[in-house]
Amino acid sequence: METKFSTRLPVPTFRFLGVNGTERVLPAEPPAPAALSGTGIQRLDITADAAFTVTGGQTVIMDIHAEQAYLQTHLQADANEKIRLVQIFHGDCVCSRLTADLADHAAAELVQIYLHGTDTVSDTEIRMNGRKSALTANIGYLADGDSRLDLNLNVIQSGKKSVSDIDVQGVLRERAQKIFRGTIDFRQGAAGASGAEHEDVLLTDPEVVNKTVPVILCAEEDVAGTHGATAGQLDARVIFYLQSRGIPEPEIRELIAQTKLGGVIRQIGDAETERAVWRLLGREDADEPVTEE
Amino acid sequence: MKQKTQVADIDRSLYDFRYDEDAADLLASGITPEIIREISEEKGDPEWMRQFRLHSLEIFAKTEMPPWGPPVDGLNLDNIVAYIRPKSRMNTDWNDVPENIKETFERLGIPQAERESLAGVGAQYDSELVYHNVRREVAESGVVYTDLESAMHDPRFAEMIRTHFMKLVPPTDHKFAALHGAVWSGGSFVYVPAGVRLEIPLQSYFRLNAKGAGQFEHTLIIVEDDAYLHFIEGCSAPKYYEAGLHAGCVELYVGKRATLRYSTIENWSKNMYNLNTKRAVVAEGGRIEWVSGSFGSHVSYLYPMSILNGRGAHAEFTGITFAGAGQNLDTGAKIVHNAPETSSHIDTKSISKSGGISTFRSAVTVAEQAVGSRSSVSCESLMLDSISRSDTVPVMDIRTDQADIGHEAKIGRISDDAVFYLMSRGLDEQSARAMIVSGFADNVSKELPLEYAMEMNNLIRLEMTGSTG
Repeated sequence: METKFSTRLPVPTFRFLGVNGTERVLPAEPPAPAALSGTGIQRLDITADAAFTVTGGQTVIMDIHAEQAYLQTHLQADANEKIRLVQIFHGDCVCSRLTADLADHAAAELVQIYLHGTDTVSDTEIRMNGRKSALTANIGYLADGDSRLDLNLNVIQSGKKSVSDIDVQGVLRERAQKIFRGTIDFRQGAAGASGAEHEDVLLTDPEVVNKTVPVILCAEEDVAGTHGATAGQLDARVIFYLQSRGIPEPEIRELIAQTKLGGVIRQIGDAETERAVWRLLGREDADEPVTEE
Repeated sequence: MKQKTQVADIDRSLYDFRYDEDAADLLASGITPEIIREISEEKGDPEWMRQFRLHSLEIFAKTEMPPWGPPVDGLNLDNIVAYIRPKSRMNTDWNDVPENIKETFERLGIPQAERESLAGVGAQYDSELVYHNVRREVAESGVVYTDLESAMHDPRFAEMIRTHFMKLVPPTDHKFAALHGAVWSGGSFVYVPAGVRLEIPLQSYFRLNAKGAGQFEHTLIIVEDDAYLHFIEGCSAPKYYEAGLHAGCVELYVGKRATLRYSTIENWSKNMYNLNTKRAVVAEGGRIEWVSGSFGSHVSYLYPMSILNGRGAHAEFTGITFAGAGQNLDTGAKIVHNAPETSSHIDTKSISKSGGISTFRSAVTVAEQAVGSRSSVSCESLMLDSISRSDTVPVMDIRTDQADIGHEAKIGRISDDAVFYLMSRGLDEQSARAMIVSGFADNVSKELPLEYAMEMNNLIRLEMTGSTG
């Protein structure tokens, strides 16, 4: 049975911009979530519809290379627990929904990397209800060809002194199109909370389309929230300098794009996965150690 | 234990006085074809304008309310009186203005401002301009500053108005643009010839006195190549329990290498729905500079739009929004980079207090052909308590790799350290906080002429402390 999958900006805005939400039709109903057991690093190879619940103390690395698939993930971090989730998307037509509940002093570390997928929709909602709960999110993307990348991240901070830190690094090439909606929502009662979000996008070809929607919602006086976003081209001075060192321009462009994503890849914290990601980026020397094992 | 400073709401006695309606024409409430025809007849519209009004009404009937932004449920358009003509035709001699209207504007300081710091002034009372005057030397330089309706009937400008009126903001733009197209009345027409630089500003002041009424003035400004104009717009209304509506429209045409600065201090009463549309198109090397202070109204939707159509055109938007009790102010700016090497800068501040809701909303779009364009957006919000709300909803839509676009937003509270420092210098806590908020609004006040900056700072001080100290 077909199911609708939709994402939406928490506060709608001007319709002509086409950023208020996205809808897709899934060919089947999502499967029932499976609870992951055990601790240590768990690697999941995802090639079809799947649903998981990740609990405190777990580190999960998902390699998502499905076609036409729906992935549902829920993170449940109870008091003082820590969860680490790494998601590498490089499939086609993937819809992903990630939710998280963070209790007092709970922490979630999230790394999401999107590479080359033709039509990826990712909807993430992190509910930071717990006092001093913490979120670190490192997101990287490289979209090329005719890729469509639609990312929606909604961080709801209702816990006192909760802290979120979101860093997004991206590269758009050829005719790729991307929307990133990033919301920090300070709810009433989140006294002492802070949230920071930054997106930095490198645009390398004239036909790319980049839409960025960095939203801050605030119903609490005692908070500190910041947003930053930059989008731009390769720095001509950097290209000139590297050319003067004998590197041809196409190679320079590749190098700069890889450097941009390198910071996110290093956050994976698992050498095997990092090497796999570098290989996806076309690095022939990817078998060299990147992170100390 | 930390104690909060108690701050009073604004003393609006300066703006809240009112007179009994003494109108010559007060049409029935509601928006119907009959009422549109009556307005058109009353104004002696040319046939094209009569047809335009009726066509706009059709669009209005078919268009839905915007599905985003603050609720407008309290606004019943069936109860709004669309047209009220005061018992006075347009005058160019202040002595000819009826006594109660004259007293209204005198209390608001308009004639004094005209004498001291303006090149010309227009005053609209309810639906019609009641006074318009421009200094002789300004008129002699070829600058035209008159009411739009007179200009529409003047053979020198009739065609110019026909080719520019609601071309930038067509009635299909949104429901209230369509409403405006149907019932517009009053407003100003300004024409600055090529090469003329008007170093002192022109001002229009809009006053809505009648209760349950709408004001739908239309401002059309054409600044030709290499010319300069600073236009100031002020507005206020006394408070009633019935909802009032302001759905004005501003269309600005900025020529090559010309500059237009458009400053607004908006201080409608807190029963008003301010659903205003402002738009500028800028030719090669031209500049549009918006300076905007939003202090009044119950609900505001206000996003001045700059369309940069010429190579090297530039837009600046500097704004402050202060939302107090019972206010939901949704303000911001839209910039369209449509040509190469265009640039824009948005710098806004917003303050929320006593349950007020302030939303900054923006859209920066960079078209494929706008190579080499640059844009920066900076918005800062200050929350003065936890019963208020402050949201920031910016969007960037970039369709070329040859552009540099930056955005930064910050939200927070008044720093305890800054208050402590000022108190150590002898200020009491209330004054220290008021001073910090005034400083926070510095981006706007330093862009206004001195008299207006002082008025704005007084408004902020009133909001913060309940006195002008």
